[in-house]
Amino acid sequence: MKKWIRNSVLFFLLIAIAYPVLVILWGELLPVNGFKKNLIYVQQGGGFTGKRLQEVKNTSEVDVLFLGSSVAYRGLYTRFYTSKGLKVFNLGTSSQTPLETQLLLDRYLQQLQPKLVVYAVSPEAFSGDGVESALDLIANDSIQKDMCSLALRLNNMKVYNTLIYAQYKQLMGNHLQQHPDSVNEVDRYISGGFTERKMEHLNSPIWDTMAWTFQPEQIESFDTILATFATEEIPVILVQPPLSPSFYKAHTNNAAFDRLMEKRGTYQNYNTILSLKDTLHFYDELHLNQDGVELFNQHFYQSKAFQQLLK
Amino acid sequence: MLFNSIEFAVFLPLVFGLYWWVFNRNQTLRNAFLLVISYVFYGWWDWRFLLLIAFSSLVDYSVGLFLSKTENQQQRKILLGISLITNLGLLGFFKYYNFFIESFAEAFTVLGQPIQASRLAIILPVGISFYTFQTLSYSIDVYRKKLEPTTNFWAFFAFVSFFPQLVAGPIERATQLLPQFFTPKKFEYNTAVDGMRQILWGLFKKVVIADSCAVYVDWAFADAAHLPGSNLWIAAVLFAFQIYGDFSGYSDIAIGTAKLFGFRLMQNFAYPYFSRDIAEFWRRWHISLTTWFRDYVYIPLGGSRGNRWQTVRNTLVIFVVSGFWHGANWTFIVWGLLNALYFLPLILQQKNRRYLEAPALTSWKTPVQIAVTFFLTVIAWVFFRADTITQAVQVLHQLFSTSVFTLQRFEGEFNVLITFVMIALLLVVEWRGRTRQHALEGLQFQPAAWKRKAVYLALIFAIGMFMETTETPFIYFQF
Repeated sequence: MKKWIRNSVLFFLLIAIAYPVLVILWGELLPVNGFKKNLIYVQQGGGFTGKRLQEVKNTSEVDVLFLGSSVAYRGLYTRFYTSKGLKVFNLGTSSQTPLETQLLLDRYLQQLQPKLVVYAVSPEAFSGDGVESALDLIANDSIQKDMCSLALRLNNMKVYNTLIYAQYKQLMGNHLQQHPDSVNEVDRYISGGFTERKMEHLNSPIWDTMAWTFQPEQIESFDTILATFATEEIPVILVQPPLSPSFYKAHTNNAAFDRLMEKRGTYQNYNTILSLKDTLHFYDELHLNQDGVELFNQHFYQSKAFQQLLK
Repeated sequence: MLFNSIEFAVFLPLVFGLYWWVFNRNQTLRNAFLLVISYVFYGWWDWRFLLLIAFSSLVDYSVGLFLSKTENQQQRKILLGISLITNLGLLGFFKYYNFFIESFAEAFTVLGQPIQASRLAIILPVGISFYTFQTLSYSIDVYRKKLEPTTNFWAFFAFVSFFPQLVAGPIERATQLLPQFFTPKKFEYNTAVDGMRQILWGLFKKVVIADSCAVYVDWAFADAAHLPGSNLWIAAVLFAFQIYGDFSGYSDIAIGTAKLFGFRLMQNFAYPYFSRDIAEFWRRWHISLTTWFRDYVYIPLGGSRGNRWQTVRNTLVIFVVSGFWHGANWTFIVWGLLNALYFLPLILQQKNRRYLEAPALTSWKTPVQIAVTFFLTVIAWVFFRADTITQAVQVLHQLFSTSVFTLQRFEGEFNVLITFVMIALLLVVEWRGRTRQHALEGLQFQPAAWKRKAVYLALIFAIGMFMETTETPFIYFQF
């Protein structure tokens, strides 16, 4: 038995050293991303996360802070609010779930000191495991203890591998690089955190009936976030930006999500407030095109809740 | 609790330590501990169904005791009947009730007499088919006087619920496993290391091969009506490896885990995709179930000892029952029938025992035979995987249509390519280890420690880098 214990300890030590080395070598030497199935280190990302997180580091004291997944940074149009004389920042990131929102707030809330928080709540974010968003943050923000805690909470091999690799990149001093480009083939980054998609229209698809599957840990994390805002005395509006009507209606438990949100504060569901069309106002099932964005923001800006809480 | 879950990664070392350091002082304490941890393992999924295992165990334990006290043949038959009716009754209710109700309703509708059938919302208890057969083997063997009934409550209950093989086998015979609960256990370093090796290989098969195949297979079968034959061929081949990786992976983890506790379980898979004909395939696939049916159904029916008609009847019965054991769906029955059709020509020509040794590449014939056998199994697996007979027929129609010459592009093409690379790795390792109990067993004879460790490290790295990251239950849990 002594031999077993000794050899087991030695073997685990070997793995603890050799595994990260292999992950780093795999990340550095393999030219084809396809072979990096569980090592997703994508700087900048599809929604300009790198750019947004660089900008937030130089931003302070905003009037309004937007939070949420891509429905936030593609739906809440910062330029529109700036034109109304407000200082805003959109801290949305790809597939951001409450678990990642919590991490971002721990890092940036004190610095941003918003007068109002607009939290774009999407039922999809509450149904997700948070892995995609965590990978996005790991590749685009500094690696600190909180990131390791998040990885442990998610307990996912992709997250662990990417974290090991990002930690190595940070040690080598080439983790957070400057991202000069503000445009790519389809998107344009707008100062303040918004990502504008070039005008496209959704072909009206047919969806099978489905249901959101809300994750208890996301709801728990969401409640912690709301408690933080309450402690800091920052008013919050929970807003559900519109999804494409066909996609929204395909879900059988939208009302359950509404109840979940209504219980927790001021909540507006723009799927029921606005009457939009798949083919006119959306470029995919989750995101408004620029026509839809402008319509949505005008309505939201004029809403009683927004105007009252902003005062 | 799933073998591929974080809970099990904590549970196993914990119970391993307690077992060898605290509870291995005497037999009763050890067996009581095994019973408790087995119930914890099972109850993690749904504690309510522990009552079912406990009840099933109690019935067979009591039947065994009563059988030991009577020589009256009539009474012995009644006692065996109680065991059979209780166990098969529970299995029938939980697994087949809705199937029979719906099938009767459909049959009456076809006959022009539609009837109202009320479905029950029954949850299928995980592993019920496995532990039912295991505990039945005890009653039958005691009835046949092949086994002395036990009076030891702890040993018997621990035997029925032994956690490594409780939910998906191997289905152990009481004659083989039960005596092991009475032998003193001494920690053997080499056995434990070999157990770990087998767990590692099983984990690789499950999380890298099976789960990766599942992503494409699920997508393709969900959209089978619209996909060309080429895509469906990929899906059919990948499903063959999914089901193998999933189930043989589970068996390897189960056998390896049992070794850590000083128990020997039977080999459940012996490299079935290297079989040269279907008869050999069925000697190598899910061995514990195949031999169970052979010993408790096929041979009592007369086996192949009667005339041709009896042989055909018995073969059909065993394959159909085996198909039905897998699930309450006509697809499984057709899968069984199809395998019977593959098997019958061999048994009728008495060629079913041609290949008893592991294959070797001595001539060009062997790879061709292996390829043909694999092709036949892939076709049969289509029925196993399809949700309905209609879907299976639809898929088969596409597989043999001209649409095999057009490939529809799909998301994750590179991942499928990686999966095929991993399957190639699996086949190479398994071919090298095909004469052994498990593919990595031969490593213990590798004198260079660094080479052994390099293999372990490579496998761990492959698991970390290529595993599917969403926790997927083992397919056979549903059976």
